[in-house]
Amino acid sequence: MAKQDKDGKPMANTVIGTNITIEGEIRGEESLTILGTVKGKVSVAQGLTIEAGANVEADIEAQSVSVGGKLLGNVVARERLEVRPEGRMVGDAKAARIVIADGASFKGNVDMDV
Amino acid sequence: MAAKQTVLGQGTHVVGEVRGDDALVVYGRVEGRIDITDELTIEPGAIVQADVQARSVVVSGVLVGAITASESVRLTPKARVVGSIVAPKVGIEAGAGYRGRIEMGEVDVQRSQSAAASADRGRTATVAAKAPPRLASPAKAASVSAPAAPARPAAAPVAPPRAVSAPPRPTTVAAQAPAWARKKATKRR
Repeated sequence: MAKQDKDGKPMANTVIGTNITIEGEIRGEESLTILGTVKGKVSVAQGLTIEAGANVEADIEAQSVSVGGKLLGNVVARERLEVRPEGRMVGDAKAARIVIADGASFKGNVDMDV
Repeated sequence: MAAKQTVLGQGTHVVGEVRGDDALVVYGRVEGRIDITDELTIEPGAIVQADVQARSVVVSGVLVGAITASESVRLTPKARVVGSIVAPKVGIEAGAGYRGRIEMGEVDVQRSQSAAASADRGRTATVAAKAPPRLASPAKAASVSAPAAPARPAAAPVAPPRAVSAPPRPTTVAAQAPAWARKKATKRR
């Protein structure tokens, strides 16, 4: 369960569960974890984690992005993009630091602002 | 825990459609539509401008839109809701703010959606415990919830016979005579 104290400071990070589909735009001031399906556009101020099993078709803007599931779309990360071994990504990546793990699959342009 | 429950945090704003089979807890903002088969919880501080469909709905935040639940709807004291509610069980706790129309009894999804569209004007507030048994009998539920539709076709055939039966009433005494004359005639006889 998400924690919440009475005086309006709930530290509930956003989690999109395995059986949930969101179509449209997601904007956030906090971190976002996706286990389900998202189509559209995602922009978060902090970290975005796409877990194994997740399916994302969206353009993404975030501080840092970690891809463990399937991602179809362009990524702009202000800090770091990581495609984990189980990750599958098709799209252009723009970030200061990019990690593509051994075993990951990636198709697209990489722009590291050099 | 994370896999079975979806949380939209305080700083999260979703524009579009959320659907699926998990429970959903909203602390942030949602605009559009929510359509899930499990429980939906709208926490204090959350703002939801959406038509909502779920198994059960608990509202403690702000919700503007039609609510359809297959099981129950509960408005807690912190709830502020504008829009229709369609559910077998509806509970409004003291302190909740609500404006809209409530329909209890068996949920017929198709009808409830059309009702939801037109329902925003009504101002009815009924508290759960007493109402469901009253609406439980199907005949009564039908008469309560859909009076307008059957009434119109029934009225049409009734009218013509009355028009036909009206003239024969003044029998032998001059049928064309004015009312005062007829009265006189009957008196005289």
